[in-house]
Amino acid sequence: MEEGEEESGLQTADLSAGQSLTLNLAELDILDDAEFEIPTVEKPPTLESILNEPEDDTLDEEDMAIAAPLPLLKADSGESSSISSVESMETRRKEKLRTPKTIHGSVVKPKKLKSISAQLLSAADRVDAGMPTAIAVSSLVAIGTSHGLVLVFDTRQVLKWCLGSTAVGAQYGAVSALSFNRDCSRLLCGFAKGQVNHHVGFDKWQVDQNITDAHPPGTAVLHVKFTDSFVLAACSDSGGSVFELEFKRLIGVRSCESQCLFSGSRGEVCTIEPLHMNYTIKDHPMQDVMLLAMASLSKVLVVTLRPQLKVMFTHPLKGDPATLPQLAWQFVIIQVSEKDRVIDPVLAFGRDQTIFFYQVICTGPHDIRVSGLQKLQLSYKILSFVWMNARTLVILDKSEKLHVIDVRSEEELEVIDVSDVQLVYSSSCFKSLATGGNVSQALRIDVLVKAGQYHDALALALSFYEGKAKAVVGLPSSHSQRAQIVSHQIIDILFEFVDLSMTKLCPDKGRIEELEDYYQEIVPVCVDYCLHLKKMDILFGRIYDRFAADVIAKGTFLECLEPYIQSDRLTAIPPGVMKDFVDHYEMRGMLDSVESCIVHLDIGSLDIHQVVNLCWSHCLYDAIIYVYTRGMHDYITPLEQLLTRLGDALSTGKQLTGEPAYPYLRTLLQFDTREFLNVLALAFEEAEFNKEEGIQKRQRVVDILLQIMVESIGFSPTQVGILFTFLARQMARHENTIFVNRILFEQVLEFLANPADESRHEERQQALMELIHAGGLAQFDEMRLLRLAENAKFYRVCEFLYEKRREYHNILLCYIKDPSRRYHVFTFINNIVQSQLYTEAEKKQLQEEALRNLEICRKHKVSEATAYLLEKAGDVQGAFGILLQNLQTNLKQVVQVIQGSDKATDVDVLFSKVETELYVVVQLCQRNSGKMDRAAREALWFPLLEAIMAPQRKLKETADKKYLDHLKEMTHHVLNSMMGYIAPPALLQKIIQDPAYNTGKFGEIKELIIGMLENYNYEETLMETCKSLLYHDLYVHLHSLTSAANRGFVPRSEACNLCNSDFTGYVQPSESDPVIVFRCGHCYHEPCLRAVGSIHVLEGEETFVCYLCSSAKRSGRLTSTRFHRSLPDPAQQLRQSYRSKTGAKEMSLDPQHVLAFENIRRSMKTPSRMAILTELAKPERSSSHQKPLSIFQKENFSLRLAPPPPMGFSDVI
Amino acid sequence: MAGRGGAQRPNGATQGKICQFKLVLLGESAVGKSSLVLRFVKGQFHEYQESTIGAAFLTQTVCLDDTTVKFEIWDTAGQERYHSLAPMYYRGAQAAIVVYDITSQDTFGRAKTWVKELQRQASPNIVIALAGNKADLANKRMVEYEEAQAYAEENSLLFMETSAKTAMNVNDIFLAIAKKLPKSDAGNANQQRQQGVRLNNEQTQPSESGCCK
Repeated sequence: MEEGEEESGLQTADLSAGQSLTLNLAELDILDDAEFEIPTVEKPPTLESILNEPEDDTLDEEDMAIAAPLPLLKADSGESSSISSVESMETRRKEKLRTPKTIHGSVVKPKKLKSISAQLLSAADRVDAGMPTAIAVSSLVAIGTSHGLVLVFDTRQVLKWCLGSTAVGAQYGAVSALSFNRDCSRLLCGFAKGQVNHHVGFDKWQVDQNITDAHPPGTAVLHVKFTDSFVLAACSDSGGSVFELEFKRLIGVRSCESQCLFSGSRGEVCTIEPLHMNYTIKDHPMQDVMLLAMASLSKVLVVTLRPQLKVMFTHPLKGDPATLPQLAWQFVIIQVSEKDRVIDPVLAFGRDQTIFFYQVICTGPHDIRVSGLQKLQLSYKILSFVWMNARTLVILDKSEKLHVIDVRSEEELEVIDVSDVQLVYSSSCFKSLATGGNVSQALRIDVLVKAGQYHDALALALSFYEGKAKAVVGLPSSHSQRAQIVSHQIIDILFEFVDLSMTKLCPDKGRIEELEDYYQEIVPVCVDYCLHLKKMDILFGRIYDRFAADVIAKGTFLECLEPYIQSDRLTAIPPGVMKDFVDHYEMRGMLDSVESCIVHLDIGSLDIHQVVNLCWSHCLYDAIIYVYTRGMHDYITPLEQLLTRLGDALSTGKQLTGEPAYPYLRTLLQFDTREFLNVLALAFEEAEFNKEEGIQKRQRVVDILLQIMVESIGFSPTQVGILFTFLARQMARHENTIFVNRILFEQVLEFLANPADESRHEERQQALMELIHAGGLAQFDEMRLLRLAENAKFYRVCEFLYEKRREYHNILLCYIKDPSRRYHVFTFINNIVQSQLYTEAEKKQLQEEALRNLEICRKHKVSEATAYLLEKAGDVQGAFGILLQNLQTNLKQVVQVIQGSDKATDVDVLFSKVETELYVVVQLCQRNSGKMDRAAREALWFPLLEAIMAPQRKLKETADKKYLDHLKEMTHHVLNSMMGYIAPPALLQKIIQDPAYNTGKFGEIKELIIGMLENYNYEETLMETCKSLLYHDLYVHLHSLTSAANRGFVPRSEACNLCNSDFTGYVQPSESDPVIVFRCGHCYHEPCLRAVGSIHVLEGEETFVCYLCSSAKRSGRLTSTRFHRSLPDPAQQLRQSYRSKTGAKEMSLDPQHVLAFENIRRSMKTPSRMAILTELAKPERSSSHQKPLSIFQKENFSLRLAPPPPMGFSDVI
Repeated sequence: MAGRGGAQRPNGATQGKICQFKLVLLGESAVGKSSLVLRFVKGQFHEYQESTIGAAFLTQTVCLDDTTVKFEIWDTAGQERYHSLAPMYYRGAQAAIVVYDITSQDTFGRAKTWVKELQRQASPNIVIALAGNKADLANKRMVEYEEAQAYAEENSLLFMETSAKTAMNVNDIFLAIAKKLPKSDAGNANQQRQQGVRLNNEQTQPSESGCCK
């Protein structure tokens, strides 16, 4: 950018970073004709004429008048016609086309500031000020030189002040940027070596502040720009970063705070431009907003500095890499509508050959929008541009021609070649492309650290360390130096991180797992970075010490080392830490891990003594061998000791490792033996297992299985049984290819059938059964097996074996002996006896056995079974006797319990037992009473009654009411049950005679008698009710019959269904032919019906049958056979011919209806009535009529006839 | 770095320097090396001390004026078959204690060979102490005090007769070593270690950059 001094006050905006300063102070007064009413110059002045103009020592008054005001103020005046709003752009374009080209004459007048030039030259000569390098133009003109001097001139070109000295220049380098504040009371001066001087004062300029830490050292200050506020400035450096400088004065001490606005790491910023507020506009909404535009090589950014830092706008800005972006602000009046005009700042930014205009619309500090206005395409490359006023832009192109452009019309007003002024380009300071602009690494890391993002900070630092980071600034170029600096920084961050992690960030003594998780996040970070930096002394020194302060943290730290050790990233761990590591792992029992770590470690860091002892005691042989052989080159000791161990193991037969062999197989077997073996069985079916080699493998698997399951403990009999079942099947399947030791089978058999073992009886039996079923015991002697089974009380096994031998009587014994299946014995007998499969001899044998078993039953006091058998055998009395005896025994017990003090037995339980038995007896009596004569009945019932009443007598005095009631209830039950079988008088007599009731007092037997009477009443009522129900039923049926009969017969058609001739138009000679209408609605001529033979002779009377319905039934549509008796088939043919005649007029009945009939039929019990109902129901459903309904066809048509005889179902009209 | 480390240590007591020394115990088997260490580190004594396998590692910190000396002690196994391990431990060690048993002339002879080996192969600045252990068994003495002391003087060794059992001279001999060890050097040694790392970096980094860029 040309901090070009080419123009007078009109130009404040330095064009851009790169170029600067013309030496020859050519003054270019840019004038707006319209604005200043300068008459058009007919002939633009040639360069020569300009150069030849008489030189003034001072700027003349007229010039000053133009030069003095700030360009902004000029724009403020609002006189300049503004760019109107974007919206009207189109119309303006059109206008532009219409308006003829006007001649503008000379707009810009180049003028050489001769005095300044001369003084600069003399300064260079006399005080070695050096060449001019920077310029700031306001109401004063400041020019910086390459030797650090700043010369300040007033508008009269009088040198007012000379700031700085060559000493400053020697220290800081050339002046690279200058900026006046608004009222020219302050001057910021940036130097090539990065310092910024802040000069304050009107009369006596002095260095108020010497800012050296505003931005990373070593980068030149590219731009320094005051904002509207005199305490706020922006500066950009050659690193491409932008900083906000805030000047403060605290208790007389000035300070400057800098904040990075934009990091050069994201693309270097080449130019910045703060928006200077137009204070003449009252209450502009942007008054409180400070905008800064920045342009990098790829885009333009607009940010608000105040009230808060926020990016408002970005726009990509690409172009020829050899060109630089440019920025310029201007307040412009924008025509929003006819009447509304707003004054908004417009940012012009451009690069290469394009300039964009964007309007900033602001309604408040927080509502700022940026919208595009215009795009200007030029035919030349832009070097720099600046607003002259609200509608005029001055552009300097690459060939140093100055173009004056009217923005609205895009018209080029004037072109001036200024190449002869020898512009100075300050490109020496702009090295951003070469160095890669950036904020210093320390700053970047610090930001992250302050934000608590330690992981990110560390990652960034590491990237610096490894030289992978982009855009590194502020680090020495030497790799080693850089690494050293960064590694120190990383270590510092790590310390801070660890310290913080252990204190502030650490979750309050929460659960151990939580803490472990927490530390697990931290430790690997430390390890990683220390590994990267190769600072293991730090890791195991200070960091480890820090962690070791907390037991959990220490443990976690050590555990976190494991992956590093195993991947050989950590091989040299200090012995102290290593010792802790081993201790910790031993304590946690993570021996496998420790072993796998040991074999990765440098032997020099191991406490061999500790490790070796640990390994021997936990059988970590790998580690032992590693330590001895690798560490001590001792191949003998481990071998000796291992052999000793091996010898011990061999002599004791124990596993060396203490851990059982085949752990996975074991797990699988334990998990689900059956399914695992099933899978194995499936696998054995595969081809691989059935080749030569496969057979061997199969045998091997079988051997291993036997070894695991039989030779070790921990498997249940069932599981072993399953294994042997599996083996048996396998053996049966793969004949002679699987060998299993017979003795082993024998052992298993004995194990399963061990009579001494009471546990898992059922399970073992089941296993044995399966084994037998699988044929695994085929080679064993059956008798031996039987003996074993009997001994072990495996009755089902016995049964199986007996069945094989067809010794059914023995099976019977098995049943009887088996407590769980005793009650199935009769079912079994029944099955055997009834089955055809068994020979007579066998049955006989069985019967004998069964009978014999009656005795057995008695012997075994299986009373119920005995009683049942007796009853079946016809000996009711005998059965009754047994049961009664039982009952009496129990009753006696009850009595004893109640009377005695035997409180141990639960009376209620006894009672319920008695009750149950009583019911059984009562049922027995009731079952058999029907078949007996009176005497026999009484012989059954009375003893029972006696039995139940006897205890009452005994208890009468002693027992409490509850039990007595209970007994009475039972008595009652017996009485009620016997009521039907025993004559009441006999009963009454019996009761009255009974000693329990015969005390003579009516009161005592009152209940009993009343109970009996109640019972009598009940039965009587029952009978009456039944009777009335029957009557009712009869009536209902009759009623429905009657109403059915009363319904009219509705003919479905008016033509005979057979001859199809109309009844009405019937013009046959025998007009009196009767018509027969059936209930189904079909009507026929009687002769027709006779002709097809649809007639029956029932009881000598002719009965017609509906031909269609009966034929339908014949063709299988109706399943009822009862009422539609079919005729033999002569009709068939006729019917078919009739059909073909009449077309498809077949009566059809859909299956649902048929089903409905069937249901109704089934539900009705009286066949005759049903017949009628069926007949009645039918016609309504079968619909095949097409003709309009006649009166006869109406459903509710009633004939109101007297009910017909029930059997008749056809009427002859 | 070290200074800062000291300042930030959690227990503020150790304001002074922290020096870390690697110390190795050498000597014939069963002269009582492990017992000496055990006495020094844990203050214990086991009548029956199991034979050390390879080497054992222990640490103990002693305070010396304002310096904290942390001993990293490698207690090597005395058995001949572990001899080959010894260089690994005495290499880089700043101090060594050669132990013999005053009741056995053989062990004293063996001690002499250890001293020779150390003088020949260990670091030239190594501080060597000669310890005549089992001083409690003076009635079975086979090595005269004077003889040993003369030998020690001759070879400029520290010398003490010790007894792990009675704790006689145990702490003293370690303290004597600590005193004799160059503290400033220790700091240097620390730094040297760091420098070593850094040099390492320098060596590796350029090659890295060479392949990256």
